[in-house]
Amino acid sequence: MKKWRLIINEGDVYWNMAIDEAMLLLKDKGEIPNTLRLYVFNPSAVTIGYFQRVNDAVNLGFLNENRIPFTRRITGGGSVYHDVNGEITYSVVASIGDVAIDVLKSYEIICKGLVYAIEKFGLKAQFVPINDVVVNGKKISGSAQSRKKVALLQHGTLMYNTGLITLASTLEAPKEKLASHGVKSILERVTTLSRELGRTVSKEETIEALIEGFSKALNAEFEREELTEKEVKLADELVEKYKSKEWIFKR
Amino acid sequence: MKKASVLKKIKGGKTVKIDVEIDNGKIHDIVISGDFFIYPQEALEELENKLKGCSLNEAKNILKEYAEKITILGFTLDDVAELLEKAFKA
Repeated sequence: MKKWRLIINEGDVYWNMAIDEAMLLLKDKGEIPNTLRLYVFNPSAVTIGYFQRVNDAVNLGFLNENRIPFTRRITGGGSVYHDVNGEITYSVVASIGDVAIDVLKSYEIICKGLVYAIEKFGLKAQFVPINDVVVNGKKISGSAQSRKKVALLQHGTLMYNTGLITLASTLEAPKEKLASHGVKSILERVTTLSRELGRTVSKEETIEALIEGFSKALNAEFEREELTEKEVKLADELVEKYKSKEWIFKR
Repeated sequence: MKKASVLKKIKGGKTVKIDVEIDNGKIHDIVISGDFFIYPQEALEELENKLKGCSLNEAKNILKEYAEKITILGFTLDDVAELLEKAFKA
């Protein structure tokens, strides 16, 4: 087993994205150890993929009316609703060579951590390439990876009790469809640990399962630590980008 | 100047969309967007810039050249060529 750092914290959407980017940049320079970060978006928020257009990815009217903050990630993939009371986000920041050089392979290795975590609850989970994990055919987790020269950042979700009706309202559904159809189809496509188990799963149990799941998937022994001063300082600089209209509406 | 917005749902769940402005048979502006992944990430903006000023055939050649250079997960540059063709015909 290899030693990895474990960080558990929470923040708003801008700070969370800034920390993930700061960790990636510092890992690329060899200044921090391989790290698993588990965190919560407080308040609930939406992130969109690097290559998405805001208007195609989210329901802007709903986000503004309900004051749900949102920003663009540095990672590709689709839009995500991060429920403060129902979703844990993980970030794996590591040397590419410690995971896998092949991109698809590295998605699979890291996503196995989610599969193992979900199995701790007695559920069967499956990795579906490129970046999904499904339970009973429904998506419970999505991941996205960005790479620098020698380091990678992969972050993703595990929904344990996300409000799926709010999720359906925040993400953009094709305009020709009625809102009710949008909700109905999203409810058929996504699920949570609580929904699958028929009981309310807690944040704490989810975090514990994720630690065990990633430990197995990454062959890692985690040591709980705090962010370094350097990471916090760099994130404080990056946070302004994530708040800026130029970045959010880049596409 | 004509504007077109064309989209393709890819098997497996991803979507790729191009918004393009065509002027006198040449691409004036283009944005390729969607929920996919590209490595290296900067390559998409670079590709968009190269496509500006191109005819459909020139654009197809550039797309072929990029298909060798970059890793794309979720769609292929053949999908983009197909969408461009649709946009030019629209």
